[in-house]
Amino acid sequence: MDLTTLDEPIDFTPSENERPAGEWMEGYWDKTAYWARNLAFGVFFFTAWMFVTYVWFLVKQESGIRTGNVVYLIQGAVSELMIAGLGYFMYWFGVQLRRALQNRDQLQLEAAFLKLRSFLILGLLVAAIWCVLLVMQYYRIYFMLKSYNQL
Amino acid sequence: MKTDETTPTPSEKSTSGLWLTSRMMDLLAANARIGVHATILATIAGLLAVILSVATMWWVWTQYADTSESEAFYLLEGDNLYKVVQFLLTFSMFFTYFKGVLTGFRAFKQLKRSAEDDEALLEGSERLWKTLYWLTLWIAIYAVSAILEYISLGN
Repeated sequence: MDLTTLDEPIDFTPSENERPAGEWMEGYWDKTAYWARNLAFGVFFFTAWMFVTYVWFLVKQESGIRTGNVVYLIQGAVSELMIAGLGYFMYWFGVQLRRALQNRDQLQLEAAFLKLRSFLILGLLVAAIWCVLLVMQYYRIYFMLKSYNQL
Repeated sequence: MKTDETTPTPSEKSTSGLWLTSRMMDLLAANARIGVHATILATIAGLLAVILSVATMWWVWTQYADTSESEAFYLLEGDNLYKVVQFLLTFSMFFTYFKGVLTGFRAFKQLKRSAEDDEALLEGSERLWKTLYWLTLWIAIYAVSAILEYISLGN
């Protein structure tokens, strides 16, 4: 049996009901590719900044990394990886879209939009975790204010 | 039956350009479905973060407000300039973030209908690059704000 991956088309031949993207769409894709790479560089800066502030926070603590900070370490590493992943997918989305436009390559175009899909799935996950963390933060503040009889 | 002689048959079509293939349209629709949910969650998270951020800012300002001296406000006195710049940057971040996320929501809503509506396909694609533009501005303002904070900590 011939096994091929479902994500990558092995050949491209347009069928009768398919049509060229046209100048306008290609113009929009060109701008999308440009801003996607810029956004990715921004996300990489954000990741690096998060890493630096996180390490600074751990080093400043007297107990340091030795005791009780394993949870913080894991939490930091996971959030770093997730944000870096967003930058990675956005960067390759921009790069592959640009290559598709330059080389008139349909397979690159479809691969680029697969990268966008990965970015959006990861983005959905990050947004959900962000929501949960913020709700927890609200809950903590509520109990803190309650314990000081502020509510 | 009349046939248009200028329309190429599938075998005659050149594959060198970029095409709106059915696979490509499926990809756009699949992206749009995920994108709509992602932007809704990002809007909720953004709202929660903004409320928390504004409340914290207000609390810090009321707790550490300097009321010992005259009530006159001088921009270059103490760290007033830094506080004002940070305040403006924070609100620019709120604006660009929500502008980006809401533009993204509209883009994905239109791209969802792109298979049957050409206008939606074009407008959705235009809004997609605008989403990335606003989010890039947001992250650039964040970078300026973070660098300023670092400089102020150093002083």
